[in-house]
Amino acid sequence: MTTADEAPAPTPEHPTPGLAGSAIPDSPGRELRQARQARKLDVSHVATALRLTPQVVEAIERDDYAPLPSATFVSGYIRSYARLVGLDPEPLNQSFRRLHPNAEPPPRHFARSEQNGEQTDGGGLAGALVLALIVLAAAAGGYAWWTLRSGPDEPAQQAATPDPSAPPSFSASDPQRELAPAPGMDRDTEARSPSDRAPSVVNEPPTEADSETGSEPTLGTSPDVRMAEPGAEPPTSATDPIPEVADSPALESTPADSTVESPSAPLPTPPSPEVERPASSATQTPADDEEEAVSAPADSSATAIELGFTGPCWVDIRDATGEVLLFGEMSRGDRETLAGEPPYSLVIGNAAAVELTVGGAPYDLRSVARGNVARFELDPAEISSRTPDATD
Amino acid sequence: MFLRRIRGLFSNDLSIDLGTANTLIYTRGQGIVLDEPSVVAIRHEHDGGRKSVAAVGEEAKLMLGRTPQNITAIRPLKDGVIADFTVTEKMLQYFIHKVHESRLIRPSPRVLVGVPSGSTQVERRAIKESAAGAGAREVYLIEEPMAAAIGAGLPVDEPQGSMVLDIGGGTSEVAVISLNGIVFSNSARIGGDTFDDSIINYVRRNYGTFIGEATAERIKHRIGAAFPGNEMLEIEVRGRNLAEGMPRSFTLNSNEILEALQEPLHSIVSAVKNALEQTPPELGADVAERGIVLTGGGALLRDLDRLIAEETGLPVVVAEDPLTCVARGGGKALEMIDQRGLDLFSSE
Repeated sequence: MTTADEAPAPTPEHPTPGLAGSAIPDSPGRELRQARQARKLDVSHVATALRLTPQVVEAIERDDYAPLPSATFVSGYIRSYARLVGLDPEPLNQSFRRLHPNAEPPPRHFARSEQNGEQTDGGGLAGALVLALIVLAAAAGGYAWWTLRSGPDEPAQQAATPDPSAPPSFSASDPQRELAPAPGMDRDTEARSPSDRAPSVVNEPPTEADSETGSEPTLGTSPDVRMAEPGAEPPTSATDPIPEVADSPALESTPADSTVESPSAPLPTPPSPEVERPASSATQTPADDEEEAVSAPADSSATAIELGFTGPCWVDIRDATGEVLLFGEMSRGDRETLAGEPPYSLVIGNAAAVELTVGGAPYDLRSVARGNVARFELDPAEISSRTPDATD
Repeated sequence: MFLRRIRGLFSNDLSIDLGTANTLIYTRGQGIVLDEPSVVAIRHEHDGGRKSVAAVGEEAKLMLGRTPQNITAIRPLKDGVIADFTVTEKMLQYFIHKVHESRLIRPSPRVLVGVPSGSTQVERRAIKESAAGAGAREVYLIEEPMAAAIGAGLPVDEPQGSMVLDIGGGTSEVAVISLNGIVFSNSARIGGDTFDDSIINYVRRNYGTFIGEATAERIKHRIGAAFPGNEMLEIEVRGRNLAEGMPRSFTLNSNEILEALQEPLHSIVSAVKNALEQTPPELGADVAERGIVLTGGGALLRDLDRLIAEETGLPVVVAEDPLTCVARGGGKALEMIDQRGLDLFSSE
């Protein structure tokens, strides 16, 4: 079965015990030559068995790898030679790799277990990056939340807190929503109907006021509004708002002009007896609303509810249908007239900075305010029927 | 797409040897990080007939032939190509995740997959799409003999012929390579699995006993040989006697296994001879001078190099760590993408 000159081939399970040195030999060629001579084989015999030329075998025995092909082949030759002469090929191969400059290190098999430390290092780096990203995202999110929240929260600085149960409604489809214009804007924003100021109503037809102001105040600008406040001109509460709103068709014929000059009216004074329910203009389109305000000022004047602001104040006012009439932060000098379905539901963050008149008569906010925040229902018709008792 | 690039920053480039028997993954800078059998165990849920993956890799291989009714352990690759597309995708997904298991972000690596040189366009596309479906950002294909030659350390970029014989689980590939290209290649659908089948058939024919694939593989590893040695090895195995229907134990020796393996070995030798005949004479001379390099798991069959040396009269050397040559070569090729472009890679 085997040729007589061949030594038993050592297998991984059964390496030849005697000749297989555990120490790595200095010169694989010398080891091989000694083993060959011990078996009384000549070079040509080995060359024939390995299908190599005698020159190649001699070069291997001299450890002269220059005339030999690449390390892969030489390593294979040495292994075959070692098996032929009954040596353990592995130590010889290791010493060959030391001698051969271009020999690759033996491949690292199952490197995963060996490299666990390195792996966790790499993972740690990636983990740190991921962590940094998460922290950044959280910080950005927190900042965005704070900016969005702090707009409505601003009156809290004046010891007033808005109703947390009234979440800011950013619905752009609400044409009745009003927003506080920036302080600098109300200079040229002459009495506009609420619909004019409805922010981000995309389909709203442009009005004169639009072209004057250039840009509509939006919720997003509320921080800017807040920042602009300190620099805003400090007008006197009694005189300032009136000239600005003088052109307002809704206000023209109301007696409010005279009454707002007494901002600290202690008690609800009787409104004019001809109080009527205001025309329900809430259901009308914004464009109609504006025309209505011009054409029927007298109608709504009897029960008109006006808000004059003497300082920054956060308000949320809805009418009976739940529609938002006024929402957001108002600033000093603003005046607003409510048009909607009574009774109204009001939340006024800074009651001390608001002068409320119903049908021209001042309404005492302090009677309904808790702390400085007023949360109450207001029905002009009810007040008009109640005021006779109050006067009694 | 952008997200994939971001995830790619947290993923390693992988070279995958998607073999019939074993799947190996090589990561740049880390070496072979995964070596598991290409086996998936599928569980069939009782309600609604849904299927889920019960186990993959080593764990699933232990289940082969030992599963209850609701679990099927399958090998999704056959003859080096995909036999079950969905299961292959699941398996690749599992392996890619396993390699990146310490990462928080879902990996999206660049992947290089070896394909048999004899595979068809459809088979290559299946492999490519399967890898893409498993989460790869980009998929490159490389012909296995080329990857094996690079992994074995052959001078593929020189104007010299190098012959490599890669014996995998499902296919054997022989190729002559010069100047980064395959001059000639021949693929035979014979590999480690064929050896196992031959042993099963031999035992059934001569002992009237039926043994399983796992047992056949164990026999091959322990006492399998391609060339008669002067050492007789023996192994005791158990199988079901066909006549009695009872499990019986008996002893096999290495000469019997050598006899059993004659047919597939002959086919491999024929493929090598055929390749040598077809090789241009200059390159043939280079091969004759330096020899044939054996890679793949089949190269570990005892004395296979001697058999081929005897049959061809050429020197034959077994590559260092032949099992991982394709994966390592693919890894080196991935590292060369930036330098050499894509000329090493095969198109679909």
